[in-house]
Amino acid sequence: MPREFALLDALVPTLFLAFLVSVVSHTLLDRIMGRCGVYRHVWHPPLFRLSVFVCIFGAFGLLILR
Amino acid sequence: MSAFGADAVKSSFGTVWRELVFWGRSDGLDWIFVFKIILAAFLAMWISMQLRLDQPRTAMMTAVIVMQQQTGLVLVKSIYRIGATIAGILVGLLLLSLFAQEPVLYVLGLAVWVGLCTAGSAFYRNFRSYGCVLAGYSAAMMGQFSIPEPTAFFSIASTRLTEITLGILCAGVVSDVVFPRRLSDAITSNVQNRYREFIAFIRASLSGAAGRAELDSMRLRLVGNVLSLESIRSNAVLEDPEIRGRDLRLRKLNSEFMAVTTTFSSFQHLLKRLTKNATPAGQALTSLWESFGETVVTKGEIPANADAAHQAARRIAAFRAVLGRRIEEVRKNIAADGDPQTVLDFATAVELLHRFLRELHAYTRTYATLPNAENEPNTPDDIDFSVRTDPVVALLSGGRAFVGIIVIGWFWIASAWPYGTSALTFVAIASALFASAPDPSRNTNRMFIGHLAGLVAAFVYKFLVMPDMDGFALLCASMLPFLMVGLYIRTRPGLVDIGFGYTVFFIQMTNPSNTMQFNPVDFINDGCGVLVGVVVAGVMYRTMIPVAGSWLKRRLARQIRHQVIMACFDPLAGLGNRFESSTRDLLHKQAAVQKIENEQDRRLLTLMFSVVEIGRAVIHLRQDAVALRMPQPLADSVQESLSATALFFRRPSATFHDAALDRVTNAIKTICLETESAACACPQNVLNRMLTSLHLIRTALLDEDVLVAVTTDGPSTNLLGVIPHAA
Repeated sequence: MPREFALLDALVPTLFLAFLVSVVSHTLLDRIMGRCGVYRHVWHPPLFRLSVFVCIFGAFGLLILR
Repeated sequence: MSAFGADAVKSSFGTVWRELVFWGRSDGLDWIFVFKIILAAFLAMWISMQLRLDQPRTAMMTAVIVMQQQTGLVLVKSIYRIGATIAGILVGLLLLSLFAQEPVLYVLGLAVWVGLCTAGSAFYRNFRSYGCVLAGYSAAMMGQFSIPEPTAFFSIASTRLTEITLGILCAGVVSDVVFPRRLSDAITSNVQNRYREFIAFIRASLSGAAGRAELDSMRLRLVGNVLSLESIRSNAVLEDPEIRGRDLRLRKLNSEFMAVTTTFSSFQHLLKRLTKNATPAGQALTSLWESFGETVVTKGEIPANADAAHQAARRIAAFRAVLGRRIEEVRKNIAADGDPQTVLDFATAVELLHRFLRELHAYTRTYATLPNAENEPNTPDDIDFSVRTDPVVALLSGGRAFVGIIVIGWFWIASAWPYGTSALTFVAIASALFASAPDPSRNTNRMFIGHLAGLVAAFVYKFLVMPDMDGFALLCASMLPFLMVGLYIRTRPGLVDIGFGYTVFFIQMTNPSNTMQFNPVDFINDGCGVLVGVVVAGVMYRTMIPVAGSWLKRRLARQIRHQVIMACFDPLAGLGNRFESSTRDLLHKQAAVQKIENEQDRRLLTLMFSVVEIGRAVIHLRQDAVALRMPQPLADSVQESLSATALFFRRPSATFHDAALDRVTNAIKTICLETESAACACPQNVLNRMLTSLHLIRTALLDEDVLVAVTTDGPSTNLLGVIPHAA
């Protein structure tokens, strides 16, 4: 994967794209987990959310920059 | 001996612990907030230094500006902020690319854009308003940094956007993860406070100990509470899926609360008038009312949880049953006296009391079921909160910003002042930021004080402290005390703008970055430019049709009077709630600037409270009239009374007042005749309700205070002709 791509002739880092994708997938996952009541069993839901997001973003980032 | 010593130690330890817990619940929360902001700002600074962005201060400032006590507010603010910043930067780019060579056209374009954004921020509420502020000021900020080197504007724009987004993300993460304070807690405390304040208000007006000004300010607090719940609720919907489930119930709670307060104040007015004339009905009612006070208000503690609220609801229900019997006993005595006016007064008061109890019961029940997560099956149809903003006022604020920018821009171009861009940016910030504030000139004053203090502090820090600091840790440690002072001031009510101005300006002027520049002359010139910008914005607020001036007040009075016309003629569906909420919205905005000692302000306040009562009575009347198939003469007289009332509120004068009074009295007579005639096919209780509403309208029309309030702020003033008649 290239590190940057050209969006209307402006160079945009691919990681930014990965960030957007992980925001979307995290939102979806968040909805599902909220519906299933996962957060009721978690000590600190915001911290948990953040960690899940970091995991998703990290995974995407590693896939891209591999 | 040793046991005694251990006990003493334990008890003193206990005292210290209690004190600590108390401190932690009050002041401690503020300090947590202060440190959260500092953490977010340093995080933003560190990341932007790591990424080698050229202005870490933008990220820091953003983090400081965006941070709010409650978590949900940050998330919502962030969404709007990113969107608005993108819009502002795009416009800034457009202006620069079109007019980089033409300063006059550039300033003109910027003034139009900032003026539009300011008008938008005065027109909208909450975060939409905030988004408009940002869209205006990021365009101005783009100019500030790009005008010196127009060829680099694209990279500058993208860096600025990166920095702002970084600041927003840092603020969001820190406020969500470190000691989060949920909006749902704020809602709970708001609702509990409101119950307590409402009961206190009932008590105060019951005992008669509180003066008029005190009661007025209590009422205004209740109004403020309604609006703040509405604002928190609309933000919380975006925060928490759990709140979304309770959203409907919260809206219902607000709408029921508005209804119950209006009924209560109508009842209280009537009672006051009856007791002033020492009528037997007045005495009987006072005793009834006192028994209510004993059973429901005084004995019962303020229900803090769902169980207690259920109990309170049951107590109210029980009292309603008792009340019916007692009223029947009293009614016989009153009817024996035979004065039709007294009987009518009494019937109205009883109807109001019943309605009040019914509404209080419903409200308490909703309050009790609030913690339940699931929605009710029967959803009320229309309980949206509607707001009312005067577009002319919004356009005026836009005009002020426009003129401010033109003035600064003209000075900048004419004198070739190198720091004109700083002044330009800050005149845009100050005029947009306070456009929707109730008293913008006071806010700009405070912001100026804050900026001045920030400038001095930044000078001391940057040229005396900073050169000795080596490395990121020392940089943070040395900035910490300066930031703590400003941020703590920001948490103090009334000093928010000073603390805010200080902190933002301290960061702006210190400008920590990877390659530091120390240039005292440039520093002072730049700082003075900013101060000039703020001063110009303040002067604009003071001179160009000031918000607290009499023209806007007269306009507001007219708008309030038009609420009654809306109650008379608008389509009925959901009108009750729409009317109550929009009138309160007007009231709240006025309440923020008004002083109870000021004669004009007090009249306006009386006008508002009575408009709420009259409008409510009108709506009730119309609802009953629609539900009932009335004989033609009756329907005509009711319709006539409505249009005469509306006409009086459209053009207040002695003639129209007489006409309105005449029509309403006529309608009352018609209904009385209808009730007595044996041929009447209409249900008796509906007719009684209509009678109550008409009687309320008539009482309000006769009230001297109301009359003065309605007529003096109107276009045609005819006081001398009106007052003797009313007396």
